[in-house]
Amino acid sequence: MLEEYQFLFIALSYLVAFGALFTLTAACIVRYRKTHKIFTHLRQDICQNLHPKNPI
Amino acid sequence: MIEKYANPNRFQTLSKHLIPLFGILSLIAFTVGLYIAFFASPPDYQQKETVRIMYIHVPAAWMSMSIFFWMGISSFLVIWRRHHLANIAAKSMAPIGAVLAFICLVTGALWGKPTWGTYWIWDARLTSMLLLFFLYIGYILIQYTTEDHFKASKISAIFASVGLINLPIIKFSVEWWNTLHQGPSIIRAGGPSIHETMLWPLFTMAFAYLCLTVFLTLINMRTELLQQKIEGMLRRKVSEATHA
Repeated sequence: MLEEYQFLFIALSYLVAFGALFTLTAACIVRYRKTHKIFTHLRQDICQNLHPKNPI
Repeated sequence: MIEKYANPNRFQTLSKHLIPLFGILSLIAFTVGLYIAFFASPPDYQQKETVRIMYIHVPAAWMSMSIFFWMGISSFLVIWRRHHLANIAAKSMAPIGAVLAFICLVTGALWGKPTWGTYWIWDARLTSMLLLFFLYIGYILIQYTTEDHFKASKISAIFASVGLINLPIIKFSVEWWNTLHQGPSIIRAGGPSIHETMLWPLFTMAFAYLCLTVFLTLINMRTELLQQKIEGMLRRKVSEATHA
């Protein structure tokens, strides 16, 4: 009976594997881009506020 | 040599070129691998079409074990040399290894049902693989929930080094114990017992997994380095504000 469903098991396996790989890749790239954005923003902020004495 | 390439600035320059290279390589290898797996490799005489699950299950198992091995090596460097980049490398690899161990477990269960008649059995190979998945989860929890970075790197390095014991258990479990899981069929005395028409898609998919792992590890390492720079900048800002 299971032989009839073998394509279902194959499809499910590939769906889980590539779903997980795609999610992981997307999460890593999005995390990097977000972090890079914050870093660039902070660096610009620090560079713009150059002052011999702290103005705060 | 370690000191030469373990410099964060040198790493940033090198990884900038390596990330797109490994990204493209993994895309090509996955495309070719999937094509061979579905259209060029024959069904097995016993398992029929379900053998195609092997092409995603086995490379995931290989890579999740390899990643933990490299995490263990990096952890030794953290303990022995207090190497900063080694800790970042191990921390960056952990989520990738966890996802690959998860893929291995789920696809294994989906392969087990039509082949063995059950999704799960507490045999030595399956249980030790599940333990590897929990080791990854434990490592990630230590790294991301401990507030003190130095403490987190030290505890997680000891954790990963101890966890290395599980790798030979996974590898030899099918030889040491009587398991439902099949014995070694590639790295064994007398050569592989898999026909070359099935070996090629397997190795191509393994290469694709490897390239993706390197690609994601490098991205995660760059993210971690950036995060540490951000934390440094924020600390400096706060200290400047308090001293003003």
